[in-house]
Amino acid sequence: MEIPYTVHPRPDTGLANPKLGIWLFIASEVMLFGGLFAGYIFMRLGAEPWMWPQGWLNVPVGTFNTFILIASSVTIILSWECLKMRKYKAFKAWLAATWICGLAFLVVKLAYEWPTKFHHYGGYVKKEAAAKYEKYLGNKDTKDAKGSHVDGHETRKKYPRLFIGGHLDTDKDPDAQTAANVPLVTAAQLDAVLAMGATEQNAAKKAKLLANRAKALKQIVVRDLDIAILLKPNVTAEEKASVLHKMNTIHVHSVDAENGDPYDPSNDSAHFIPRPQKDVDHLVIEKADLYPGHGSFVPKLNTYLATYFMITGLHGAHVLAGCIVFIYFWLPIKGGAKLYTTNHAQLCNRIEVSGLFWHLVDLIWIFVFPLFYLL
Amino acid sequence: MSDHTATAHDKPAATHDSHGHDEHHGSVLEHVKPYLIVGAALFLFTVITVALSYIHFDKIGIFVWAFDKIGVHGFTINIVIGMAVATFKVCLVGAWFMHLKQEKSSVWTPLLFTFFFVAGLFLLFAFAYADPIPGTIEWKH
Repeated sequence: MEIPYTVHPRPDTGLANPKLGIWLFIASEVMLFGGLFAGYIFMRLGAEPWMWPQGWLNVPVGTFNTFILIASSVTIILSWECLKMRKYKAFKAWLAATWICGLAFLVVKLAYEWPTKFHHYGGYVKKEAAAKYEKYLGNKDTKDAKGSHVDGHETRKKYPRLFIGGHLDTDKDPDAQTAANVPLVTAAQLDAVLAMGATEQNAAKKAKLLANRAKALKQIVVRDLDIAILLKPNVTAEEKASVLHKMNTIHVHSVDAENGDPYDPSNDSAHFIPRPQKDVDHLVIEKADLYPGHGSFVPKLNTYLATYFMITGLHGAHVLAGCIVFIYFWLPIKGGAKLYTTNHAQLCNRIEVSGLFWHLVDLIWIFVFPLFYLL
Repeated sequence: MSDHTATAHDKPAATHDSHGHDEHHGSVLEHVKPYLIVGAALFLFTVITVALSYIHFDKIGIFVWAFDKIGVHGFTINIVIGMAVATFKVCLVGAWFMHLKQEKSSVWTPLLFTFFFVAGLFLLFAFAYADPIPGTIEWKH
């Protein structure tokens, strides 16, 4: 069956169907991202200074990715123009440049930007425990080194800084990050897990319960050495307390700039060259002092990261989709580059329509970049 | 650009390698020059966007005075200016790269509805922000 109006314009709309279709799709995408951006912007506006994370993303990397996407928007146009002018080699080369740019964007995002977040640690200190970590929060003495009040010191009294972020020493302890992500474990919880299957008589049921106990222990105690201690037949109360203490404290190796010098308000805004972290000698955070959700920089940590991963993830999915479509048109297959000889006009339309989608991907990023990286 | 499809359709398929049968005359560079200029402008405005993030507009009298007229204060001025630059960049992409400058009304009409409803989405949030339920804007645990 031949699909009508893939090449010729429909008399009533004046457009070939694919073009009208992609514009309707773009309209729906604008609604989707428009709602997300509107929600994000007003959450951002509702936050006091230093309550909303700034400078958490690497601006040079974000700028690089912006350049890549803009460049790919130009190359897809060049590809389309070359195709129309029947310059096959140039068409193929520019199309390849486009999807290579798209893939490079994804590599930067997935191989660098996201993983650095997964290896970052942070948590919100409970208000009542904030005094213990005052050195890194800077709430009481809101004067800088020269003795003048820091920007907004009055509001800081009302809305204290409670966030501490940094890196854990995973060289010394490879399980540090995983252990830090585990919520607070109480002695009663640990005893309940250790007691699993202890009194069970039925052999089959006992084996199942013991298997479940092993899984649960791995989740709440993490380190094999500690699990071995707990599973000894004559484990002492001191040993148990020692393992619990190890699980419920987080040893921070270096803190982010805003915690390293919490009185310097410039540490609370984005910088093109990221501010260096500050090594700390002995910062031990007790999990009991933190609000739930502490751990790696993942969506559950705060609203900023939740929206960051959601919107950049959704955008990344669009980039991936665009790359797949471009590679399909680039390959010498029936529906792809072979159309150059069999149905040149249809290939022109395909490149134009997918190019329109690609520009949409570009313009979404034009909003994402300043919103998440700079403001 | 929207007429290329009809003319291209009737061309014999074998002409793709012969330079004499190009359907568009003139060099590629001539055709793509506007796109290259727009691309360069987008690069430039990306640099400007980054530079603007260093300026604290809420410390500059003229901006404080001007934005006070529309009820915008503090860091919100930076966000409004940043979004204005981004919107301008998006307009460049839309007008040139997506050819909206010369597009037919059957493309424009649905888009006008889209703009209308997106503005509505922003306004819904803006109303809630300007007139919050008492007690909900405070940060608490």
